[in-house]
This record gives sequence, C-alpha cells and structure tokens, in this order.
Amino acid sequence: MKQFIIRRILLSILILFGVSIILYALIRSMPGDYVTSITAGNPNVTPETILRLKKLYGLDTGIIEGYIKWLGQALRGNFGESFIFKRPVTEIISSKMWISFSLAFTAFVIQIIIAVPLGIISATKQYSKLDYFVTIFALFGISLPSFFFAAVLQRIFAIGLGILPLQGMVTARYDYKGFRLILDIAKHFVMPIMVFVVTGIGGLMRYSRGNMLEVLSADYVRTARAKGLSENKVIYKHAFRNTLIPIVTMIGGSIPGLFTGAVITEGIFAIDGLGSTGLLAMRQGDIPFIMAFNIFIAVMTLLGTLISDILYAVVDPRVRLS
Amino acid sequence: MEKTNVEQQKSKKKQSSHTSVDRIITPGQLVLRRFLRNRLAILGVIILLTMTIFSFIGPFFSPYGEYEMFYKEKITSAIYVIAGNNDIYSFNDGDGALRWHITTEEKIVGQPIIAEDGNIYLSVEGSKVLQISPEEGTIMETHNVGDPSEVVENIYEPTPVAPDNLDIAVEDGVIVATSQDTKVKKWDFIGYSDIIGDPISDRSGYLYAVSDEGELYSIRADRGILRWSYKVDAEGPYSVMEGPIIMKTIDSKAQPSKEHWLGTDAMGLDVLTRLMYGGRISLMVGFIVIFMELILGVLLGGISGYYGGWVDNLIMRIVDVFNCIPSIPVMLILGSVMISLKVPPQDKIYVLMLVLGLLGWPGVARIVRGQILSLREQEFMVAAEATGLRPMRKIFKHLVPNVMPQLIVIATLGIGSVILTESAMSFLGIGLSFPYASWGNMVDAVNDPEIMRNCLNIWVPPGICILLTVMSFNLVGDGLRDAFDPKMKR
Repeated sequence: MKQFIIRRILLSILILFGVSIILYALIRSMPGDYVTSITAGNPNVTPETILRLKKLYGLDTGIIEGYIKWLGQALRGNFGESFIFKRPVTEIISSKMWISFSLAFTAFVIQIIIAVPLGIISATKQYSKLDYFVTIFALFGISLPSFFFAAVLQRIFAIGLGILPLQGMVTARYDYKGFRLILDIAKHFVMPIMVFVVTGIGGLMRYSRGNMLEVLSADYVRTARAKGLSENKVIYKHAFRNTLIPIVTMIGGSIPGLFTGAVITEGIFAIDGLGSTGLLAMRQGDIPFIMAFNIFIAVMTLLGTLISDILYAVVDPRVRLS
Repeated sequence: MEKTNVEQQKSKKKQSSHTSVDRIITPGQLVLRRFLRNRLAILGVIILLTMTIFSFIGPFFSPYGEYEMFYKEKITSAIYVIAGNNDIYSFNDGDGALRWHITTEEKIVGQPIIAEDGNIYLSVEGSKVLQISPEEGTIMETHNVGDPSEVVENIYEPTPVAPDNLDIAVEDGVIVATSQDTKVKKWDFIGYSDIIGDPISDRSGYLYAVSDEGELYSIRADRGILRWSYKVDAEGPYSVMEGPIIMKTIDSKAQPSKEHWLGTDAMGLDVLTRLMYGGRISLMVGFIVIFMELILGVLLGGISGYYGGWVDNLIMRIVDVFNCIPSIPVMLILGSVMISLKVPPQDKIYVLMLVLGLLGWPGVARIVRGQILSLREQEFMVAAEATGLRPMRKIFKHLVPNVMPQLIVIATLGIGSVILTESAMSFLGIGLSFPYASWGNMVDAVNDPEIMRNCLNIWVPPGICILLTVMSFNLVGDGLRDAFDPKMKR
C-alpha cells in the first residue's frame, strides 16, 4: 500500500510536469499579453515603458526560458504574484477555493442524499414506473446545459417571481450581520446549488443504480435468496452494503474536485469563487494565476483518483493495490 | 425479481413458439431486436431524426437566410424647407441631418402639397406638377396639370399639436408660448434672425420654425430649448413644412408572428432559420469530433494494449496528462489565441473541433486498451498469432472489431457530451461567432437582461434543442449498450 502510494505520487509529479509544459506553452502563445492589454490606448506609453513592464511581469523571456524560470519558482512553492490582483497567487486560490467548495459541497451532499437512495430503489424495482422516472430524470440532468438551466432559473425565480436574488453573494444595499447575513448568503446560493444538483445528480444516480443492478445479479444474492431470507434482508443487508463500496470510493474521489470551482455557473451567478476568478484571469491574460489555477485543478484531479483508489482498497479488503 | 423470472420464462416460451427451428437469428438481428424493444431508445432515435431533418433539410424550406436581416417600416416626420423659387430641402427630424436638396429648373409656384404616402407635389411654372419622393428627393413623375390637387388623391393633413396646452405664436420674429388656461407666458424663443411664419410641429411634438435669413430651428415645445438649427444656402423667402416618411429600421426582438414563427433576435435575424443552421453546426461538430476521438483513441489505445511494456506506459502517461488538462481553461486560452491570430469566424469552428478531438481521445484510448488487454489473451488471438499475421493487422482486423460494440456505445454517448461542450464554448464566446449561428451562441443572447425578461422566443428554443439532442444521444447510447449486452434480460 505504502509502495503503491509513493509510486503514484511520483507518477503524479511526472504527469504534472507534462501538464505544466503544455499549459505554459499554450498560455505564452496568447499574443495579447497582459502588458499589451494594460498599455493599449495609453498615449504616454513609450517602447521603453513597455519593455520595462514586460521585464517586471517576466514576459521578456522566450517560452522555454520562461518555463524554466516559472518551474524553478513553482518547485519552491512560489507561484508568483497575480497581475490583476497584485497579490500572491497561492493566497488568492486558498481564499477563493473555500467559497467554491462551500457551494459545491452543499450541492454534493444534497446530490448524495437524493441520488444514492433513488438509484438503489430504482434498481431493486427495475422497469417500474419509478425506475423509468429515475432513468429519465438522470438523463435529463446529464443532458441539461448548465448555462441554459441557470438562465431559466434566473428568469423564473429572480425576474418572474422575484423571490430570489438574480446574482451575487450578498445584498449590497443592506449591511446584514450575524444570522441575517448567513440567511442572505443562503438565499443567493439557492440557484447556483440548484444548477449544481440538477446537472450533477444524473451521474451519481446512474452509478448507484448500475452498481446495485450488478450486485443484485451476483451469486451471493442468489444464495441469500435461496437461503429463504426475506427480500428486505437480501436487499438491505446483503446487497446494499456491497453496493456502497464503489459509491463510497466514487464520493471520496469526487471531494478534491469540489475545490476547483465551476467556471460557467459561478460566472453566470457572479459568485466570487475560484471558477469565476479563473475566468476573469483567463480573459485578461494573468499568466501566474492561470498557471497556478490549472495546476491546482490537475493536482485535485490526480488527488481524486488517488483517494478513490486508496479508498477502494480500504473499503474492500479483497482489493490489493499494486 | 421472481416476477421478472416468470416474465422471462413466458417470453422464452413465446420466442420458441414464434421462431421455428429453421429460422436462424444472427447476433446482429438479436441486438437490433433488443434495441427495438427499448421504447426510450426509439424515442431518442425519432428525436434525432427529427433534429437532423430539421437542421439539414429545414433550411431549404425556410424562405430566409442564416444572416438575412429583417427590417420594419416606421413612419416618421421629414421636415421640408422651401426656399425662394427653386429650392427644396429635406431634413431628418431627429438630428437635423440634411437628407436631400434639389433645385428645380422651373420656378416653384405656391405651396407644395404632401400626399398621405409622403410624396411631395410641387407646382412649377408652365402649369406642371412635379412628384417628388420623400426618401431620395428624386422627381418621380411630371404631371401636366395646373393644380396639384388634380393628381393628389389623399392629401396629408399635418396634425396640429398644441404641446402642454400652449398657444404658440410668433410676435416680432420671436416665438412666444403662452399657457392656454392661465394666459401666462411660458417661454419665448429668440433665433439669430427674425422668425417668420407659424411654427409647425412633427409627430414627436417638436416645433420647427424658419427665420427670414433661412435658418431652420428645431425647438423643444415644452421649454423652448433649441435642439438643432440649420442654415439654408438658397435665397428666400422661406417656408417650412412637415410630411410623413417611411423609415426602415431593423426589426429586432420581434415577437413570433406568421412571417417569423419564433420571432427575430436582437440583430433582426429570423430565430427559426438560425435554429436550423445552428443545429447543423452542433450535429456536425458532434460527429466530426467523435470521429477524431475514435481514430486517435483506437489507434493509440490499440497499440498501447497490444504491445504493453514501455509503449503502453508511455501512451498511458500521455493519456494521464491529457486527462488532467482542464478543458474549459484550455479552450478559453485558445479562444484568445484565435482572436489575436485573426482566425476568420467561419474557421474558428474547425479549430474548436480539432481541439475538442485532441482533448477527448484519452477516454476512448483507455477503454480500447482495457478491452484489448483482456482480448489478447483469448484463444482466437493465439490462433491469429499462429498464422503469422503482422501486428497491425492483428490489432485492427482481429482485436478492434471485437471492441466495436463498446466503441459504438462510447461514440453515441460521446456525441452528446461533445455537443454540450461545444454549446458551452459558444456560450462563452469561444466557438462560432456572429454572424454564424450555433445553439450555444444563440442562448448567449440571454446575457441581455431585456431579452431574458421579455424575449423567451430568442433563447429558450436553442436551449431546448440542445437538451433534446443531447438527451436523445444518451437515450440511444444507453439503448445500444443494453442491446449489445448479452447478459441483458430484455
């Protein structure tokens, strides 16, 4: 196990290396760099100023030289200072990721509460009306474009009924404190969470349904039935526990991804999380932030698969990691 | 569970009674039969066929083009100044721009008459009447009659507007407005030179007056403030008239009507027609990207699974790297690269397809590799080995066809997700851009608050099209998976 984890971490470093090379090359080939965009239209800017600014922002080097410089700093944990926020990138990411996480985590918990039981029940009653409903609803969620659903929700609840705020995180007009502030934020989070839940629930629902179906066709379930156990006992004592194994590993593996934020949904609802900040940075060519943001996503993806692999072995003693 | 077993037995009995001994069902037929029994998948097929017909054949039946703008006619006022004996000027009522100016050969006699359709009838010396169009000021016809009223059918009656119950009069070259009720002077207007003749008013209620030196004033009737003025070159005497003119404006955000079943968008383009062209893009992108993903994925996954060892290790690490690259940020970056490289809008979609294909193949490669790893240990591969075939032939003739069912399923499900990604890209403004339509950039119109509130006909239909199409691909993909699965009971 220990060996497995060490091997995986070493591999991950190799993968991150590859990811960072591709990303850096891509980002630096964006011709409209930050210096050009901040100096555009300013008549007082001389070529010398541009050169000085480029040097200041580290844009005066070639791609390879720049990458080596970036890598040298990044390995020491220094991801540089964001061009647009003028603060260390790591500081921005660590402060914004909690907003994204709180939103995504709430949605994730709601998803689990709804999806896992429904998936399992619909598997036990395959081809029933409930099963059809679950199947169609799951597909509906998977197929729904998040930006369209967000717009529909805004139109209905914010503009049509006027019961929820259109976007943002707090009502700027009121200076709420304490419990009222929490209530206010919660109100602003309702619609983004709805988008997360509906567009994300399908996968989990289908996953738990599919697993339950697989478990129900396993030999030990037939044995349990043959022993003459009641159907309830067969399903909830024998099958259910086994179906939890893959579900738990999937849930565990999804947690790191909750930190990375959702670019589109956060952008539409003007949530000041990591996703919308990333979108802003990418539109403005803020290289240190884009690099760190993407590496952060890559790390979280790798961490997610690692966690789910480890959990798999922990939950199911039959599995041996090698 | 017991119930299904009974049903299964029943259906088996049915099958055995239906199929006589000599009728052999091929595996393909079996798959087809299982697929046809899946009602949801059939629904998906029907929706997809409808969408395909709608987007690929529909445009031939649509009377409009993808970027054909529509205009609507709006009647506004034109202000005419008749100067001296030969000149007539036409002004825009809004900003006082000179629309046209003509000089007639013969002397103008008396006041012109304006018809209901805006045509100006000008009597000139030699008992002739010139008919002048209000838009360009061209002489359309010359009537040989003495008096315009003989040829004008409907004479335009300017609506005398008394704004805010004011009495407007000219006293000693100054316009004076007095309240009708209290007889108190509200405002007066002094021009650079003396104003002559009564002021007239246009459809928006602004006043127009002309001075003895040929200066035209446009005045706000409520406070007597000058909006604009224009000095006419020609000799006096001057008089001012108002007439109707039909202006063409873009017919934007029109509600659904007989001509435009889904109305028009903010640029005055027919939404239904654009929906068809947008569907072409979405479906085409879906198919082409999946095709690229399959080719790359099968090639690399097949090689990786067959050879194993360091080749496998290398390809799988590449797969891992591509898996870790977040697609939306990369697309955003590429979007800005495309803008600065000045990629023309119609070519952007090809770049988008290429990149989506490059980012999407690792999933296919993984599945192909996994399948081939298990297949290559089977007996038929030992037999293939014995015949001494080349490795490439073994991979692509013997191993890959066995992965076909999975590939078809991945492809069908994959098209749905590609369409979803493409629409998200277009929504973010990276994909196809104006004037070309795609479902994603049509939903993008929702960023205009007014469209979100009032023009559901612009942004809801493309959203529903995306939803239906993606959902159908998923339904069909699920149906195919179930149909290919020999363990399936139904």
